[in-house]
Amino acid sequence: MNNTPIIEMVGQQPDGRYIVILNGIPYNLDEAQYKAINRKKDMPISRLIIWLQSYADENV
Amino acid sequence: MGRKKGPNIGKALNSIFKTMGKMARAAAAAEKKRQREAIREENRRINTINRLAAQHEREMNRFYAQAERERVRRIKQEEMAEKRAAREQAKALRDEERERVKAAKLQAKLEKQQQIEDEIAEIESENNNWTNAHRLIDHIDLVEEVTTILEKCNTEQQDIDAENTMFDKPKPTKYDAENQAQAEARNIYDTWNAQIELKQAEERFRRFVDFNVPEPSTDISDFNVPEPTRGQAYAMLVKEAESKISTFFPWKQNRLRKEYVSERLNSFFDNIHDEWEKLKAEYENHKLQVHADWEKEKSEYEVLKTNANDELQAKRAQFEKKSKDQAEYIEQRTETILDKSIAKWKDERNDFYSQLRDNLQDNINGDKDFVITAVDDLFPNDDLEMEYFVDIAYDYESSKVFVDLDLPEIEDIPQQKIALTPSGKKSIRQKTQTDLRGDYVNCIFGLAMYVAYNIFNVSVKISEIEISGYTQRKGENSALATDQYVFLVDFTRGVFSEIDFQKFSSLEVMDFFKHHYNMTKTFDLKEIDLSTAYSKMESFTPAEYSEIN
Repeated sequence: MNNTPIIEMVGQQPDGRYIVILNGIPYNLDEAQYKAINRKKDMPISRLIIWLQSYADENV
Repeated sequence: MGRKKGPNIGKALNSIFKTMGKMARAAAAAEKKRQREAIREENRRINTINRLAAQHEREMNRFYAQAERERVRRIKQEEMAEKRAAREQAKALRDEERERVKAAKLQAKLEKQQQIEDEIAEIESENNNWTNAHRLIDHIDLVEEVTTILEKCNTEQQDIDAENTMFDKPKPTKYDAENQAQAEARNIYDTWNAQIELKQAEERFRRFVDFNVPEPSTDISDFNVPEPTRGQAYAMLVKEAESKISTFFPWKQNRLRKEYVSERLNSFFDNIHDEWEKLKAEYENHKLQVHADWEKEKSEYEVLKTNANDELQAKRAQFEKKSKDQAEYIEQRTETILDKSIAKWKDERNDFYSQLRDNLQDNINGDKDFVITAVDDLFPNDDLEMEYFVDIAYDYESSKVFVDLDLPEIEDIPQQKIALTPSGKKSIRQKTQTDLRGDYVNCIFGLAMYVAYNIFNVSVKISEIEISGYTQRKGENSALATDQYVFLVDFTRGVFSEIDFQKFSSLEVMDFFKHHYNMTKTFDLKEIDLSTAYSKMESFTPAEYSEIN
C-alpha cells in the first residue's frame, strides 16, 4: 500500500488561515474548521472529502 | 198519823238539809276537782305549748342549721363550678392550642409534602427532558404529502372562490365594506344629531298642536247684578231713618222719619242707580279686555306654532338631505372600499401561495444552499435545555446529510432520580453511576434522533442522515479534555418515518438503523475508533421495524 498520508494537516499559515491537504488537494480553512477536520481525520476519505468540500463551500 | 207527820217532816227536812249539805259538799268537791282539773288542764296546755315551742325552736334551729349547711354547700358548689369552668376553659384553651399546633404541623407537613411533590415533578420532568428528546418527534413529511400540498396550493391559487383553503383569511364581503363606509359616513354627516334635532322639533310642534288657548267667554258670565228700584231705595232710607231718628213722642218720630225719607229719596236713588250703572260699565269693559287678551294670546300662540312648524320643516329637510347624502356616500364608498379590500386580499393571497409554493418547491428540490441555510436556522432552539452543537455537510447527489454532533456532557445529566419505595411512595434518590450512564446514553441517542427529525423535515429530498456524535472527555492521564467520538448512526427516511417514537427508548430505536457504538453492560460508552467504526456500522444488520409491530 501507499504509505503517503492521504491527509496532511499542514497547520496555520502566516495569514492566520489553516491548510489541509487531501489527496494532494489543498483546502483553506478557518480555525474552527481546521479543528473539526483534525477531529475527523480518521474518517474514511469519502466522508473527509464531503466535509472539506462543505467547508470550502462555506468559505466561498 | 199526826205525830208521825211531825218527826217525819223534821227528818225529812233534816234529811233534806243533809242532802243539801252533801250536795253542797259534793258541789264544792266537784268545784275543787274541776278547778284542779282546770289547773291540770292549764298546766297540760302550758306544757304542750312549751313542748311545741321547744319543738318549734328545735325545728327552727334545725332549719337554720340546714339552711346554713345548704348555703355553705351552695357556695362550695359554686366555687367548685367556678373551678370546674376555669379548668374546662383552661382545657379548651389547651385543646385549642393543641389543635392549632396540630393544624400548623399538618399544614407544614402538607407544604413539605407539596414541596416534595413539586420537587419530584420537577425531577421527573427534567429527567424526561434529558432522556426522551426523541419523544418530541412527531410527523415526518413524505414526498407524496408535500407534492399533494403543492398541487393543492396551485389549484387553490387559481380558484379565487374556493372554500376551506390553506389561506385562511376570509375574502372581504360587501357587508364588511358597508359597515366601514357607514362608520365613516356617521362621522362625516352626523345624521344621528340631525335625527335627534328632528325628534326634538317634532316634539315641540306636537305640543302646539295638542294645546289650544281656552276661550274666556266660557268662563266669564254676563253682568248679573240687578238694577236698583225706587222701592228698594225707599226701603233702604226707611231703615236708615229708623236707626238714626228716635224721639220720645211717637207722632213726632214718625213725622221726622217721613221727612228724612222724602228729603233724600230722589238723590239717594240717583246715587245708587249711578253706582250700579258704573259697576255694569266696568264689568263690560273688563269682559271686553279679557276677550282682547285672549285674542292677543291666541295670535301669539299661532305665531309660535307657525315658528315651530317652520323649524320642524327645516329640521326635517335637513335630516332628509343628510340621510340622502349619507346613503349616496355609503353606496359609493362601499364599492370603493370593497374593491380596495378585495385587491389587497388578492395580493396577500397571491403572496401567501407564492411563498408557500416556493417553500414546498424548495422542500421537494432540496437544493444545497436551501438545506444548509434551513438547518443553520433550526439549531439551537428552545425545545431542549441541553447544550449541543450541530455541524452539517450535505451531499446533494446522494441526498444524504452528514451531521457532526457535539453532545452534552455526562456531568450535565440530572443527578437525582425518582424511585418507588416498597410501600409504593415516590422518593428522591441520587442516581448511581449506572443510572447516570444509562440516562446519558438515552440522552445523546434521543438528541441524535431529534436532530435527524428536524433535518428530515427541511426537505423531502433528504433520504439519509448520518450522525457522528462526539463529546469532550479527559484522557486517563491527562487533565485536558479532548473530543472523542462515541457513536455513529445512519438514519434512513423510510424507516424513520414509520417508527412510533413514543413506544421505545432511544437506545431501543437505535437497533432499527445501522449504527456503531461501544457500550458495556453498565452503559459505559467507550470512545470509538473512526478508522474502523464506519465499516462496523455498515456491517450492522438493523432490526426490521415492521416485524416488531
